[in-house]
Amino acid sequence: METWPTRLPKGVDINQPSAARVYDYYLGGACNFAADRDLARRAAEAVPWVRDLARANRSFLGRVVRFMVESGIRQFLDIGSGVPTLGNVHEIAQSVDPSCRVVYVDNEPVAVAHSELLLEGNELATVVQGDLRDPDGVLGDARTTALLDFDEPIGLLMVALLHFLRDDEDPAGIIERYRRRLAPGSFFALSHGTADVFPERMGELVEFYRSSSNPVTLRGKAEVERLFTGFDLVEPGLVWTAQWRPEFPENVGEHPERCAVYAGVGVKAAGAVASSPAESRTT
Amino acid sequence: MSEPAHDDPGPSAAWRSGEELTAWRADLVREWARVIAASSSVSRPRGELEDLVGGFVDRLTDAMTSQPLHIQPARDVGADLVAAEVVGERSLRDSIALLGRWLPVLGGGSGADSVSQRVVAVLGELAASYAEAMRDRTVEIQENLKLALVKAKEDTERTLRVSQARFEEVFNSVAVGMVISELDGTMGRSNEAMTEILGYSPQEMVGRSVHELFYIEDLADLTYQYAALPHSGTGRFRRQARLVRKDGETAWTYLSVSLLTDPDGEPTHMVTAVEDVSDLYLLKERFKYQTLYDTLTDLPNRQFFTSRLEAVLERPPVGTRVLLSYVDLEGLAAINTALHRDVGDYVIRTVAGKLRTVFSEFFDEPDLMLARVEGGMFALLGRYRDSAPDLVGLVSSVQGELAEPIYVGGHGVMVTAGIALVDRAANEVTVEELLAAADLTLRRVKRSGKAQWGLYDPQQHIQDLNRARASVTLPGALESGEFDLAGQPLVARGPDGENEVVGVRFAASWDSLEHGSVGHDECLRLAEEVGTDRQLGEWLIRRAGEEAQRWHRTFASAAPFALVCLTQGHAADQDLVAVVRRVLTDTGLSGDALRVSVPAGALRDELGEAADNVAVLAELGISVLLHDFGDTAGNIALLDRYPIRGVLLAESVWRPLCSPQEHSALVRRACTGFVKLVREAGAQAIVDGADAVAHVDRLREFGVDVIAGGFTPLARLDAEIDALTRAGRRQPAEPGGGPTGSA
Repeated sequence: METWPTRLPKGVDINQPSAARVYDYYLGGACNFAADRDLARRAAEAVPWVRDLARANRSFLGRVVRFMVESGIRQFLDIGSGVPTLGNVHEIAQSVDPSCRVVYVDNEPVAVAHSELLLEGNELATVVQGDLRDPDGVLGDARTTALLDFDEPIGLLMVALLHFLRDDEDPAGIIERYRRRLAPGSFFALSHGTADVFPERMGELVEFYRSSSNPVTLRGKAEVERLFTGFDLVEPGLVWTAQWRPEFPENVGEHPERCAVYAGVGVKAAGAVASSPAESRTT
Repeated sequence: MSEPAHDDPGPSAAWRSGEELTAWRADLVREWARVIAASSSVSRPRGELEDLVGGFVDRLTDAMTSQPLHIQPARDVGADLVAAEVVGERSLRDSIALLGRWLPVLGGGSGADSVSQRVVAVLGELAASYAEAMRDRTVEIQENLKLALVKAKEDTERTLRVSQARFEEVFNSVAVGMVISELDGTMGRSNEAMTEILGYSPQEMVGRSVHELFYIEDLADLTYQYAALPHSGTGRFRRQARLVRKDGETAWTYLSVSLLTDPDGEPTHMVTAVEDVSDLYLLKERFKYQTLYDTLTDLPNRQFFTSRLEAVLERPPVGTRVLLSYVDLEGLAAINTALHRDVGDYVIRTVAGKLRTVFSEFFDEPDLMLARVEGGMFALLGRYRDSAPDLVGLVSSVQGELAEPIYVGGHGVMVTAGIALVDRAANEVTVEELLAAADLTLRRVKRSGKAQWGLYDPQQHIQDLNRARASVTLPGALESGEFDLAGQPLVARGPDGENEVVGVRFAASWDSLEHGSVGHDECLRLAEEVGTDRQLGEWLIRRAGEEAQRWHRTFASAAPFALVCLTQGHAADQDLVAVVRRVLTDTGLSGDALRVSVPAGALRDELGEAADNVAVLAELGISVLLHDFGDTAGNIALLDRYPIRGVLLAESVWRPLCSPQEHSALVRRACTGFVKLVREAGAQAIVDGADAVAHVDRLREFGVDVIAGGFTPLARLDAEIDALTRAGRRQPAEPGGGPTGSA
């Protein structure tokens, strides 16, 4: 019938660069198109070590997932999972404990379709097409509720994601709506780009992304720390990505700030009160 | 430590012992693992990565040391690196650079197959198989990507098919008529229910414009709403509308129109759902007509007008302006009284017809509404977009029509009208603001006389609005004690030649939270506007009486009298005498201790209520004064007619006495003579003006008895009276210095 739209949704438009596919390109993936590679190359002119930045971020994700599994987490909600590149959450988690369950969430149809292909046959991992900004939709999706038990601790991941939210979209408010649903003992990990270092180069980077489907809002350290409201940051706190519990401390080098991405992990306190009297006595 | 090898130079010869080989291997594994971790995003735990790398090192060691050369292990390492996702852009380069430094110590090969050849062969194979694996990997990923794209598209289409099937089901089975149209109104599909309502078959609907269905009177409105829909925030609108059936009959319907968008939110089509409410409508119609129309003129009434105004101002298309005009007929009351009420009704009907004719020259029918909002008041609502109507032309057309006498029952009668016009952008004004603007503009117009007209003026509007607010909140303020008394000492020369305060004129002052400090004269004007001047006056009389009572207790017969000046309206009030008497009874004061002053102008009509009041008050022994005295020479006659105790001279009389050089000899003589006449008539001559005290000596020479100074708040009044009296006593030679005091 002629009255029905036949065009594809925006996310399938391969002529507009997408942050997820640009990221994939930085990591050496092949799930990207000319428009993505073009943006990636221009970004590399502003920040020549932009690939290192992406790599540091991806490797942070790996360490975080292992840390969480070692801390007893067996279910993960990875929002903004993007194109399934290398070292995906379910691979890492299930390599430690095959019973780990993972729900990926992305709003880009291609990334979702891709993830579905990748996860075919894996009963303990699934992907939901949803939007970070719609917590009710994400948390209430039948696939989410089928796999995740919200009475048990969950590892909530928002890695390299929140800088795609504008201030007026209220990132802190959105996180709070997820936090409320998490059982005590749940972990929350994020990494977030900043212009606290190399403000000019990072500014150029922001400009490049302006044309993409995912414009960027960089935030300062204090602002990023505020995103952990209601969580207690675990050691070593909010640090440069490479500094977060590195496997190869000698690789961190003298300039971990080069990655220009903050990373941290928080835990939702077991009690209702954030700081217990016992803690304040010891300090 | 090292054991020298035969002829072979280089470190290789030194690495033959098992222990040293183990140490070498451990070092290389650690270093290579570090390089891999740094160059790729592989995130294995360190131990795991080192185990993996250890396997690589062992296989490369095999390849290096095999005799004859067995290259397969090196190939495997290349492929396994890719399989282990060591695929950073520097991973291969950095690994080869590292191995190029470390492998030669293994020696390997012999003779022509030198160590360096062996290293190149091994690393070359590794690199080649790495590249091959990378190519396979890329192709595989691209294949997946392609599948993903196709899948995403299919998923989208499947979702569409499902929702389309659901839509079809609803579309065909629902009892509500539905039609899908292009954004320009061209109709596409419609359903069976639509055929039942409008009589067109679905085939007949296709290609027609939805606008063809609109009833003429709804056409403009509906066209606006359809055109505005793609730009509206809600994407839908609902309303009642009349549609034209195929057979030409009118169908009364309830429309619900909503926008269809593509997945990106771009509007593509509109769905119009039509509910036939004709039966219901006809029932309601009679009743509605009576509640919405004025029976005398058949024009819409105020309710209808207001709701129409609301509709026009709700989400108006960009650029729409509205003209609201009030036409308020003057002279109707006289016609009703002098001739007959029927004549007045006839005049109203005739004027309604005339106004309809005039306005329809300035506005198209759909953009125009004329209503009779009350008695002799009509309201016009006109809507326009581009060309503004000629307002001056409109007003003169109305006035021209009204200037023609209306002949009824042998009489030619004529009415005039006050006309207020408000012209505003429709999206910048609310219904309340627009009505208030028209109300206040009309009031301003009426203040300036009959047959006047005026245009809404934003600046003036704010003033008018504040004034209106002040006057309507005044009664409440009076009630809640926001008003205060102020007193104006009246100073005369006593029998011993010294100044003394003989009386105090009381005034009101309003310390309003909203309007600031409002003085006496302004209070009176505001009070007159809403007709509460009587209450204000009574409050003054009562409070003045209480103060006078207090003085009376202190000073006995030497106490100053209290004076209250009334407004024209209050002077003519039927209850005035009763109020004054009650206060006198309550306070035990004599009629001389509490005096009232009436505007001289109020007594112009000998038979008026004010004249009665003055006569009765005088009979009761209450001292009556007149103020604004001397504006017309005829005022003198009042002193003959009524027993007047004193007069507050009009400024036009006393001003020339103060500054004779600024006035002609004739004026001076007239004023001097006037004061003399007052004195001869037995009334006190009082000058009331803050700047008059500087001329006290001169004024006294001319016979003025009492000078009033400035107003003093009640709290300081006793001290002021005391100071004025004593200042006079101390300085009898310079009485003028006293009254300025602390005023």
